[in-house]
Amino acid sequence: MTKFALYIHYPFCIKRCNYCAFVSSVIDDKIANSYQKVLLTELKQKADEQPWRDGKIRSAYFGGGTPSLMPVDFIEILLNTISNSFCLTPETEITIETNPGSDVNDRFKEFFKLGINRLSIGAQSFNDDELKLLGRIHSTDDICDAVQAGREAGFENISLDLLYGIPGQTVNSFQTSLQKALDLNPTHLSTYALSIEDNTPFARMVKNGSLSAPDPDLAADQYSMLIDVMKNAGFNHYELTNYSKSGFESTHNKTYWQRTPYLGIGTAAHSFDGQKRFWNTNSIETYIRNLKSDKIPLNNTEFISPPEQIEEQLYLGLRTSAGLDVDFARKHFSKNTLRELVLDGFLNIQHRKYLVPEKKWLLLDEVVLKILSTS
Amino acid sequence: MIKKNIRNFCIIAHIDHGKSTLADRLLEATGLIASIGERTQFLDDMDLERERGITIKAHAITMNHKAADGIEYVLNLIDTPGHVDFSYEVSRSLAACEGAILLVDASQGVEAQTIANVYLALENDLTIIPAINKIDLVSAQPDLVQQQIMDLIGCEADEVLRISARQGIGIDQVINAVIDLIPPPKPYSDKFSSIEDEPLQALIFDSIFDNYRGAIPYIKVVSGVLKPDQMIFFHSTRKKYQVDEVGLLRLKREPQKQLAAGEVGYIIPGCKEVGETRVGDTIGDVENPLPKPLSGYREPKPMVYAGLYPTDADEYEDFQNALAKLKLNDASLQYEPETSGALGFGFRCGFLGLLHLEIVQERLEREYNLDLVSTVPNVKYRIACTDDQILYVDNPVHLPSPMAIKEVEEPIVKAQIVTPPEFIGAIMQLSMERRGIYENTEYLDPQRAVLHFKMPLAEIIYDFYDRLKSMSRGYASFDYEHTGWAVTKMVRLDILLNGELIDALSVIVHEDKAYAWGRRVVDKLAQIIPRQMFEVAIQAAISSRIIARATVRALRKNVLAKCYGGDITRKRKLLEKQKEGKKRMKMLGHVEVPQEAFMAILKSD
Ligand SMILES: Nc1nc2c(ncn2[C@@H]2O[C@H](COP(=O)(O)OP(=O)(O)O)[C@@H](O)[C@H]2O)c(=O)[nH]1
Ligand code: SF4
Repeated sequence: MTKFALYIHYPFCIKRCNYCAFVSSVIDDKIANSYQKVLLTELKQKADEQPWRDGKIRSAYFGGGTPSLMPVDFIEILLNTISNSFCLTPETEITIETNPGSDVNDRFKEFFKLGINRLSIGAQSFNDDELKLLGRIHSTDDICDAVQAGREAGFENISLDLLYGIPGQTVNSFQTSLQKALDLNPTHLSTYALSIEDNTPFARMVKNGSLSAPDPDLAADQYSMLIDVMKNAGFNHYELTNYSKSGFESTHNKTYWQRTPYLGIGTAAHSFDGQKRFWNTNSIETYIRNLKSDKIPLNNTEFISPPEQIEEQLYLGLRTSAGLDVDFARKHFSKNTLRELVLDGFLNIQHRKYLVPEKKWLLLDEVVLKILSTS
Repeated sequence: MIKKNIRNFCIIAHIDHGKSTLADRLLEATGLIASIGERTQFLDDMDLERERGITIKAHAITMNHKAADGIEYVLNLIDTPGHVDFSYEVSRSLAACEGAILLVDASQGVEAQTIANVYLALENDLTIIPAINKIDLVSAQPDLVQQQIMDLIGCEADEVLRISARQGIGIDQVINAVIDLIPPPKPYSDKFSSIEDEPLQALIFDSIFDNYRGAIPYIKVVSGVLKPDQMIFFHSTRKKYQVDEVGLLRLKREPQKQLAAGEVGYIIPGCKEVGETRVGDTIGDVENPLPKPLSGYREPKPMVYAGLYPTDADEYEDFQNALAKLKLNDASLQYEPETSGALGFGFRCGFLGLLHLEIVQERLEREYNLDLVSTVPNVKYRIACTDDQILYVDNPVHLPSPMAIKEVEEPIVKAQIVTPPEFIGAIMQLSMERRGIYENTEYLDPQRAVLHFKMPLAEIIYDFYDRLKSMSRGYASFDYEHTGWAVTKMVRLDILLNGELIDALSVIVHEDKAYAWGRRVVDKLAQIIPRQMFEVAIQAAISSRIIARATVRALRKNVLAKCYGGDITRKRKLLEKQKEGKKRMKMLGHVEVPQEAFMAILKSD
């Protein structure tokens, strides 16, 4: 029986943010309705296929877009389909993402009743000017309301997303945001440095000079403040971008770094069956059209060759505080380089694992490239 | 008797004055090529030459022409390169000729290189046929140019032809002048009643390599005859060969029964060994040898030296083979193995000039598919050591320590710059900056001054020519010749990356300029070296005194953090891309330096 993580993508939001590179579009009830129908079709298709058939779900995750915009009765159908097709226990981590200001707080109670036990809130910043610049629809107060509604609905496990490296943001203003986030007592925090992605309004603004590109040094300063603050607040930095109170690490999140199987349903969703990766079309239209005629909405498949598997293990392993097995690394990569990296302070050894020290974690890709280019 | 109907000649012209166009016209007029139609210019057949508008290699072509007197003449046009770097190659071509067409653009007038080549031709006793080209241009000033030419070679007004190569005006006059004015090749001696009895002497003025036939020298037979099966030898190597084939150079090689004194053509000696047939060498007959080779040819003397290294160490052998092949086509290229701590195994190569270096590097990269890095070029220095030894140093790494040096001498050139008077001030200043010593100014006419300087060669090998061109809006031209050595104060300037001396970046530079050079290189490197895991300290040092420094701050962030719903593929692709980027880096010491860094240092801004 395959154990796997299940991801369901809902590609609709109230409004598109200026930096957004996720597959999402402004919600249109008609399209959203068709999308929901075919989402079930795909789920049923996959439930019949190996290796997912009769598998055990380690975690389920409704991501987006803004999946909390899905009607409660549809989520109920989805969850019923899931538990009828796969093995799903009450302890299974089931996360739903929500974006403050989406006018969905009153559904949280129902979500909780349906068995969803983790709420991930796209807070991004607690500075209204920054939120405005980002093109978010919400204010700081909306975040607090969402968290409070979540608590009242029964959610203990609440995660907040925060961005740093926002144009105009300083170390201090980020610290203020961070403090406000911590004041809400989340169990989990995900933080990303803003990057300018192609084909976003931000990319155009940087190009025409109306927005300055993020300064990597400032982001690095913000990061070093961040790791200190989080340590003092009692969080574990269990993965490059994720912090949790003990016992609240995200099972779902870890699947990706551990190279265990996951199944993605919905547009642009990625899957990994242990050997190959495959992913669905980015286009909502194609996705709906294919599934309506019972075709699979696949975009592409990629077999991971043994050397690629080893490389993946390297860079995924080093993203986590679990690290990379020393014997494995020495077997596959240059011992000299590994030794040099240890001597120069870019790798530590703990319990027979290589770890990138927290302070150097933002140089992960450099460390990986160094190892790969000398192996 | 030597054939009286042979005319061996070349065209002396500044770049773009119409040499190739005129050559085409001559080929057309003599029926060798059909018409202007889809023709490409004939004598320049290498891509590179075309792009740069310079005929790098001397080629040759034989034409036949029936003149008014009813006699059929054999016209051998030998091509000459037009850039200062290639004056040796010009000298080889000239030595094979009895005459030269001096071609001057009616709108541009006489340029510096033309003057230098005319002097060379006069020294070789060549008959000069002056011709003003492009008289069809509205901007043509034939009278003014005619006066310049008369002053230059001391001829009469009516001797100067006026033609338009593009429009085909005056081509017959050119051909007639070649036939009437240029003498046939000189007989060897009147001692012999038949050429057959003369001892063979043939001059190699060029050489190509054919993958199937081996080395193919282009020659002028000076005395005797050359036939297939004959046993010959090369004077410089004393190696013997049996001749496979001899023939004429037309559009293709045309095999002949023999080549006799005065004739120009090719020989296939069946010599597979690359580097055996040396340009400038004399071919003799084993049965009837003369003790001495022909005089008049100069050994090619490299002026500029640089280390060339394959970026990929696995390409070393390919590189070595490519150099050997190129050398056959390019007598002036010299090379010997060298190793660099920073760049590994490579060759120290000697070039005629910076342009020659660029051309060689480009040909190696293009034609032999290599990827090369060049160190900063330098001239050769003569060092008198305190122990009374004399050393020639062409690699900064070999410069003895200041304590061991009594005196350093550097090569000096006599430079002449032809310019409209309005640029004299700027040119004076540029030449002074380059440690030039002003000698005098002459006027070719009121619009054309010739400035004479003595200058260290080291000062003109970088970008002197480019600077000159840009400050004079393209009007000034420049030429130089070597005059000897002069005592100078040179120091070795080293570049250190994180305290480690990078030998490939060391240069020999004049004491007074060391600071500026150090500053410039350090700043340039600081721009080019990407931020990396460590801070990179870049220092310029003389002996162990640091004279300039800059730092590249350590990189603090390089990570693709966001992972969109398990999209590991995207992450891997980005890493692949970065890996490719790293491949274009050279590890110097522990520092990653982009290959472009070496080229960038050469270019001043
Ligand atoms: N107007 C005009 N242009 C000419 C004449 N002869 C050559 N050219 C042009 O001048 C340029 C340089 O000629 P080219 O033969 O390539 O010069 P080269 O560098 O001396 O070989 C070309 O664009 C020719 O077409 C001419 O008689 N009249
Ligand atoms: S809420 Fe998230 S998914 Fe939606 S537009 Fe904004 S950034 Fe994109």
